[in-house]
Amino acid sequence: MTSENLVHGRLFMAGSSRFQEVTVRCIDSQLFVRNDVLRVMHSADLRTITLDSPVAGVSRKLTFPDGAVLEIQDHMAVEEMLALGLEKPVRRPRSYGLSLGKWAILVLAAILMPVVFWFLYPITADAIARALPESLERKIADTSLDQMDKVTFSPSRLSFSKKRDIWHLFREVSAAAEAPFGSVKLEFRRSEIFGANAIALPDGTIVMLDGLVQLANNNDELAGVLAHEIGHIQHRHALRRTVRAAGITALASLILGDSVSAVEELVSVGLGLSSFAFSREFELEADETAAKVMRKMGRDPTAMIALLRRIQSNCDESCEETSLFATHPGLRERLEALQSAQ
Amino acid sequence: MEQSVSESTPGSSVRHDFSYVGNGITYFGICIRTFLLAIITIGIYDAWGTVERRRYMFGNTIVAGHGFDYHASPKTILIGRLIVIGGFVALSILVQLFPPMSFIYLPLFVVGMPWVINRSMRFQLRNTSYRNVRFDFEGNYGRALLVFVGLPILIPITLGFAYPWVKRKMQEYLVNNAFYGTSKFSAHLPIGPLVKAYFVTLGLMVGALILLGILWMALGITDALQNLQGQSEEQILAIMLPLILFYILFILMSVVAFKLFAVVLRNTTVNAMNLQHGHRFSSTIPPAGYIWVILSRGFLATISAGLLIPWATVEIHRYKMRHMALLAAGSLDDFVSHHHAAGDATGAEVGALEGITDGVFNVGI
Repeated sequence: MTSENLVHGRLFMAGSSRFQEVTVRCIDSQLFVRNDVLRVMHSADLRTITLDSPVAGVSRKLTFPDGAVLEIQDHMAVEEMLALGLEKPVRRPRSYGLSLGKWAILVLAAILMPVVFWFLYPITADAIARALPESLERKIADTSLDQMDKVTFSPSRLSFSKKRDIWHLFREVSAAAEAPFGSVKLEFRRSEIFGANAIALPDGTIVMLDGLVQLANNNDELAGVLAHEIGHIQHRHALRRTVRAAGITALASLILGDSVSAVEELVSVGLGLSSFAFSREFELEADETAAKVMRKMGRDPTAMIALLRRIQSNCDESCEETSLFATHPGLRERLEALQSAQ
Repeated sequence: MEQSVSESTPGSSVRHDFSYVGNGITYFGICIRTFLLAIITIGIYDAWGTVERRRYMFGNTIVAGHGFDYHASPKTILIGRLIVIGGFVALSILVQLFPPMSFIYLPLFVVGMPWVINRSMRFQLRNTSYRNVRFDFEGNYGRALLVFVGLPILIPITLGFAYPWVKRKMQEYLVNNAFYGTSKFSAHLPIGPLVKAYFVTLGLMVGALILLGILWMALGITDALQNLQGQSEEQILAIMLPLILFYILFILMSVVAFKLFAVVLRNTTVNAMNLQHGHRFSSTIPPAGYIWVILSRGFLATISAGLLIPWATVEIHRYKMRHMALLAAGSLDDFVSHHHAAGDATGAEVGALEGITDGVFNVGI
């Protein structure tokens, strides 16, 4: 088959900036390039020619096996020539824009993708976290307790008898939680910055801070906190948080590539929100464990909420509601979850 | 393709004006499509998107009747990004496991930066061609270390006054190691315009700070901030509003000051640039006009929540190209490629580290 129309182009010899205005014609699958006096300058089988992908308004480049380059401004002519020579249907280059239907599919898929991602990502990241060895967690904890001892913790000022009571409580709770011997440990510290709080370190160390013990009214409240922290450890939350955050950061840089700053801001806000959401998810998971353990011991699983309300006495409604920007769910949501957990 | 050629007298050189013939709407379509595809493929497609966007911008930048071509392979860019991301993730995990290791960031930066600059310049230039001939970059590690890590130490020591000299050295390094085919670029920048621009910039900044200081006092922001506790939401909003206004003004003034220096640096560099065989270049971007283009387009891009960014990019690029010219000493036919471009001139050797120092090469196109 022969293409009827002459196609105009520019022919460059390999590695040279010198070019000639040429006309191109395709006969069967052979491409003939002629100069202005119709002498054949170049010819090659279409199948041996590499063609760049089309970009709107930019001339197509056909590279011959010997390195010569043919530039053709008319994209449709190139497509027709290829279709004729290689006997395939003429295809409208994508770079001229998409049809309305394809745009709609694209937009829908782009909206759907984050939703799919939202459900699949935690599962994938957690699977990776679970595959990591426990020695890794111990390593993280070793350094983090040392660091915190240096930076913010000071020795506990609780009386010996108070500590002994909490030790007994701790043994009772860890037995009910079926935590293997040595998998959880208890430490007492004091901290100005953290105030009334308890912290679970990845290697199973639970740090009870003086402020929290002083605010507690009864053993149920303290037992609830201990069970909650044991829940964090049993679910390997510290490691899972690290893996999830690392994955999110990596994906963000991949999606953004060299995108422009406003999009970057938007995505980083979204990712910041995702880390809060992950944290709230972990808190509820730990609460669920705590509720089970407390019920098993015959203690009140909701006692902990009373203690939390006392700690956050300065904030009223805002602590009850779940906020997008909080690491912990609202107290009302936690209370309901604790009550309903079996 | 029409050619914008006009004879000019000195040295019988021919003036070829640069121009950008792309349009905002097409580029907008490309940007949106590639961004959506990047989201769907959790970022993997962005390597392809980057190549397409760049091919559109380069291909529609015309001088002497020819556009520029961009040849980078999306796969190479993707692999490069994965390596960089993997490296950062590994590093951050390492530092988390062994906090004392955080001291390695600085030496890593110092040792790595010259290498990154050289590799990435080479990658970008080798993948850019004009009239079938590729550009190239032959960096030198020691020299890059001196210019990009050593010299900037002088800036704080001299209270900032070394800035124009250091910038000149950086630009000269980038130009003097660049090639078009086998022909070498060279430039020796005059320091006068840079020093002048530096002091104008400095004056603007100081003036802006004084102005902002007066505004700060006039609005009584300090007092307002001290009384923030126990205020109702409306009152807090009333206090925050002038503060936000103040912040925006400050950003605007910094943009004006920095863009002013950047545009003078660009003009000076391009005007001092030579290409072997006597070809010269000219860039006469008027600073005031350029800043207006940046601020007005930037404003519209911001209030459109970023939707108009592709259009703004095109407008700014078009403005730069409208004021740039090649002063050719004779024919442009005799340039020859470094390596005979037989199909795959990209080569396996080109740096995998694309994207990090995109901003470095702001001279050419």
